[in-house]
Amino acid sequence: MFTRRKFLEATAAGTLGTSMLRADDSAKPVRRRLAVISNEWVPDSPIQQIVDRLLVGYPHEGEWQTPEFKIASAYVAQKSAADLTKSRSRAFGFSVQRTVAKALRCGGNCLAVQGVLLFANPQEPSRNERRSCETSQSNLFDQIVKVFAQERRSVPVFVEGRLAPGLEAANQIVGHRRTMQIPLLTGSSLPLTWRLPSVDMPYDARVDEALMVGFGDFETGAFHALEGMQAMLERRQHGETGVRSVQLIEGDEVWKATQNNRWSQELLEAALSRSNQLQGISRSLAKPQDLVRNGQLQELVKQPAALCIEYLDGTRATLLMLDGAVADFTFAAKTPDAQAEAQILSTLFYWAPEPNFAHTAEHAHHIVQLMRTGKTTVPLERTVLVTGLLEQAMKSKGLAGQTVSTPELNISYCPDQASQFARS
Amino acid sequence: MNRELKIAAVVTEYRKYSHAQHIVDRFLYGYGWDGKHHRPDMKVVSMYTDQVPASDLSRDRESEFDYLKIYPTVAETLTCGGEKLAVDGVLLIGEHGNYPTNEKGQLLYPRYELFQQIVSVFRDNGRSVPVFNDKHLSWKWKWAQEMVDVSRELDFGFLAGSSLPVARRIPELEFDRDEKVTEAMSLAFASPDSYDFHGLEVLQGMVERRDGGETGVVSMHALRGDAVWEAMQAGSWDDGGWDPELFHACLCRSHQMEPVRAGFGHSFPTLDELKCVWKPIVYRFQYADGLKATMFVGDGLVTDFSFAARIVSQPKPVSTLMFLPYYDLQNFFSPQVHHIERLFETGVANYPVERTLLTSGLTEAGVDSLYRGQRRIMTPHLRVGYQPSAESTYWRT
Repeated sequence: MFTRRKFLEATAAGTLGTSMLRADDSAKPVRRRLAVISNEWVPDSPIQQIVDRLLVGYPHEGEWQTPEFKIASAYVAQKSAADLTKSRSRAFGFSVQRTVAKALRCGGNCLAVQGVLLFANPQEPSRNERRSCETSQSNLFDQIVKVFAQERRSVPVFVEGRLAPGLEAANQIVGHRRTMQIPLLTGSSLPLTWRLPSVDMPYDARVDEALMVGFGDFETGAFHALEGMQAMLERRQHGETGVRSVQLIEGDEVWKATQNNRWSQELLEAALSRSNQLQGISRSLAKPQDLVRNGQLQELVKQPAALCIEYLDGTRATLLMLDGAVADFTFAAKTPDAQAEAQILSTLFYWAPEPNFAHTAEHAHHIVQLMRTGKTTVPLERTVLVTGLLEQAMKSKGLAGQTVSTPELNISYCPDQASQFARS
Repeated sequence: MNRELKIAAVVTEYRKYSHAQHIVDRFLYGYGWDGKHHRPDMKVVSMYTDQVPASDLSRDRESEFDYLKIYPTVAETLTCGGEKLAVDGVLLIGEHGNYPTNEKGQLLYPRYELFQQIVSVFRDNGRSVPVFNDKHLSWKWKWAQEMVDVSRELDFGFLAGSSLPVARRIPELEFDRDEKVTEAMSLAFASPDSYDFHGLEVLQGMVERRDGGETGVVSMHALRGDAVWEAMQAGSWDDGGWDPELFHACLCRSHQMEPVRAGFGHSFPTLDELKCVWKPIVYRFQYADGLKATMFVGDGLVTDFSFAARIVSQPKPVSTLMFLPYYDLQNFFSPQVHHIERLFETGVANYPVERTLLTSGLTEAGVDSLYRGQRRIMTPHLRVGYQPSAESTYWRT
């Protein structure tokens, strides 16, 4: 690895000339090879944010890391006017292949990469409809697995965002992972980013009730929010037990449920108190406000949604999507083990602002660790459960917001005790 | 039950995004704190506004809150229109407004003049109440020193400074009070005589917790233009520059760095790229105990505040970001207001005003050094020694 110290020695010796603060890309030593598989490669997308980290490095613990990986090949299914595939391949010298298999073999006859990065999440729900079966996440993953099967060996795979559109497809991927022993990292960056304050659910803590506040459209925002909440709740006493039932409440029913204390107002206040991006008068007039009591929530949130979750161990959790009232993700839980005065633990999951999106550097670091070691501490089961929760939420929506039993979400697991979020 | 405290606000102007709005609004409307919407157990009952721009909000606030009244003079604000001092604390927020600049480029905010009017009421009444002074004390060293002297003479709690030292840190970093620090750096943005003060408070709020406590500063050397780029290549503080690894660390802690490489959202800049986008001013200053310090300010590279230092106990630099959530709500004012509330409740400042006395003097010294053609100047007047608070005061809860 071309370390910072070597780099500084080089700059001190004047060998890098005008590039004294950043090594030329050509000056980097030969590195391990990765393949990028994606349905598109456009600006401001997760693929750009994450793959760029591997191409030009990223900050971590106060140092600019230059990973010892080289993007060797790419397969990109769809090319739009904003496509970056060609310009990136030219700048960084990787090949663009016409199939997934060729990308993994770098155009040759055998598996020629030490890791695969898969990006197939739609950016916007509307694009979902246009996405063909051939470029769906599951299909692209299947094609990767097919190569592994032919080669009788696997390399680590990172799947950005949602693992699959539904539980069945997610379980298939889990099955492949198990039989083919594929080191696999997936999920949102939200559980991995900095928290303000910097707190985690105490391991093995008793949790009575939890509440997550999210924003954005339901399909995208709820995925990240549920991943964040699950990363907290899975640390509770006896670990994750799975989910008994879910109910998706929408529209005015959300405000009625609020009045009926379907979820704790204390938790809602705690979560909102952590927000740095309250909307309404906090945006237009820069004024602080007490959104729980000032009656503005109903004015600001045009399409409220509440996903009420009952876990098999009796823990209750609510995801409140309050797009229009907030523009960040906050969490609160009642736990007798919290140190806070009222035994409520609350925090903000911090996504850093554009254009740096600094939190993606922390995500990239987890990917680098996966590719280096073939291991990750981020539990796959978390994202499988979240995938199933979202599917069941849509089922509840289809049943006009009825509670649905979820025997298929009997998914139990115990995460590592060590916290995974960014703290250094 | 204790009597509810009454607070007077003496401000230069009260408009959207002014410091007065962010601070006083938190007293009026409350703010998110420790998992609650916290409402301070005290009321801003009187206000003086030195200027009333077209965008003024103070009159709206007066209409909205029955208990708040605006008075035409500082004295009447402190006496609430009566004969005697009638408040339990004073907010002096002399930031923003239309004021002249002098030949050195210093913006002449009337903090000292307003302070004089405040303490005049204290003297007339034979008693004083705690005062919070936003940002630096005065643009003129003699006046800044006098403000601190008067606070001691009249024996009132005096809290001052930037919100940066009490902002959240990403990651959480604070020195033990016996940390041996050899070189420190902060990276700030915007222009001198304003955001340099924030950059200096970032640095001072960290390094004051070093072995032996604060000793004060003996020299200041400000650089701009080509001199900065020459110093950038010097390779060390002793050779006229700074430790390049500290600069590297500061850049790596920023979350808001200009995307210098076309088509990339975040990359580490080359020297050529830096020269294209950045117009830095550098303050290189040395402390009486030998600590070396560098502060960068200037537009084009970053829009946040980071810090890095060499400490004897670790081979690598330590570094952090003083995190300002730069959204409209500007929640970095919340920890500052928290400490102001404690000041008014207890009469004691949670962190020493000497920090801000020193940074006020450093701000002036930096501007002076630039004005004198980037000459290194000796600063015997800045031998400000003090001990930091035992308690940690930055926002972690």
